[in-house]
Amino acid sequence: MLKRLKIYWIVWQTTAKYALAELLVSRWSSLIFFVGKGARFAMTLLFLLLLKQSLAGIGGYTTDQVVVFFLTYQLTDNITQMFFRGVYTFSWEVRSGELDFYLSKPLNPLFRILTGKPDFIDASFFIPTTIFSIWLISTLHLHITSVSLITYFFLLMNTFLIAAAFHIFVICIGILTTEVDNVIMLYRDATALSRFPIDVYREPLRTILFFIVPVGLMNTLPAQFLLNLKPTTTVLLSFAIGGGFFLLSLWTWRLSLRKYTSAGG
Amino acid sequence: MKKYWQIFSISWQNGFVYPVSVLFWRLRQFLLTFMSLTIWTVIFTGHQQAFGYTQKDMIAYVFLVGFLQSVILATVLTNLGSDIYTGQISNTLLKPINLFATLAAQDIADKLKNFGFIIVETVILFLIFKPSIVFPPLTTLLIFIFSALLGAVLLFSIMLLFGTLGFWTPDTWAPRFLFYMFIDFTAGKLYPLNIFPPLLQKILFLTPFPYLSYIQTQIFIGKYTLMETAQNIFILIAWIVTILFLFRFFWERGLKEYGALGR
Repeated sequence: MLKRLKIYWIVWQTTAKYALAELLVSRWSSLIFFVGKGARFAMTLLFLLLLKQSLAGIGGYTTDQVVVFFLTYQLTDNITQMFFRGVYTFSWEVRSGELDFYLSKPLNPLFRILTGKPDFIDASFFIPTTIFSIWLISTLHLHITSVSLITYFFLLMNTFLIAAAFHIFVICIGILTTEVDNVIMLYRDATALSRFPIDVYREPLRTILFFIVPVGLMNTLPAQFLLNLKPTTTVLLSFAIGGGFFLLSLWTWRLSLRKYTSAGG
Repeated sequence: MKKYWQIFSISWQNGFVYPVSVLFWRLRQFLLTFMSLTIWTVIFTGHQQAFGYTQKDMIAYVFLVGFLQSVILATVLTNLGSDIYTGQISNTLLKPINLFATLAAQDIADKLKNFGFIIVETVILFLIFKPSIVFPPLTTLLIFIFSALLGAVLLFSIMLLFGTLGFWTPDTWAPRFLFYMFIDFTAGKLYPLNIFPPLLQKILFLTPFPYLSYIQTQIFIGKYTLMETAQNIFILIAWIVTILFLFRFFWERGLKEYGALGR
């Protein structure tokens, strides 16, 4: 088992080195991407801070609490993109037949596809934004306890499980239709809805975003627990849905592989 | 003209070759506008006014800008840079057709294709949010339509300019990514630009971004006087001329260095 894990670690390290080398080849592009991400983060934060100056609260939450929801979304989105960037180029791998090489190797192809291209731009963006977020939260009027903080990090594990499941679904759609680009961006837009607390949306969208397309469980629920607010659902149910969603994505993956026809390369 | 009509017709048909792709793209645009409308509806719950706007005004603003941007920001010129870098543009350059007229015909086809979907999305959003849209007088409406067309021409010019990067580098996506990031926040889609502090507004209005859709929406909802409207349209035209001038400069320089083998 340990030997197997070591192999996966070596493979990931190797692909990470290639990804870093590719990034360093196009340094100016990487810098521009970094600036663009920073601009997006800064402008949304500016909007929230302007709201804070003008309004006492939004949808039953104080503006300070809404900032925490946004920062949680930012954190999970950043980490997810850092590790799962490989999915964004998957359509090329299907069309070119590169997927056949992944399938023929004694390595889980899902691991290779999901984690094959770690994003170091997001990794370098992660550090300053996390430091800034921690500082910002320390200046806000919030009720955070050590228990709520532990529960928050515990629920973030469920967040990444659900995020992995979403990416696996995108891969499955990519295998069946070769359409990945718009699907992955649709996932990003759906998760962007959780920049604000999901329970501000109307029904039935609220229920859909919590329990069917569980972006609410990814970002809103951990933030609710962190802030000691009344949570939309329990930790147990959240993990049950997250686990079930992940198992469904693995089943869909196996089904899509059976339907896969090689490019003949 | 007949050949450009053929190009338009082919582009129109090409746009529906991958209908799922189109559907997902429209769904994304719909979600973005839906999110903005929902957030502002929630913000105004318990508040009569925010940033000098009533709920009615803000919802109308977001609704209109979402509609406008869906048309104006739809473009097929995203691949121009890579077409130049890979040499694919040689095929078009060798043909007895004007490249820019070709691109314009393709862009118009794409915008019209999107327009059809936008009508459906607008009806759905209208039924959900019931915005109070008061149509302006006919003169203002005509000025609005004119300025919206100019906004589309401005984006076309900007995308042409980005395309010239393809003469020198394969990395054309990064600058466009930055441009789209800025557009998201500075063209007024999520919120009107006048919620920003005055200094930031002044800085933003030194860029072309507010002239893509923000000023058009403000013209429609009657936020500008006649003088301000004329001034903004004049600046919009000035931006178009400036960017086209820059494009022409870089395009001619690029063509001198351009070479494509095996085509």
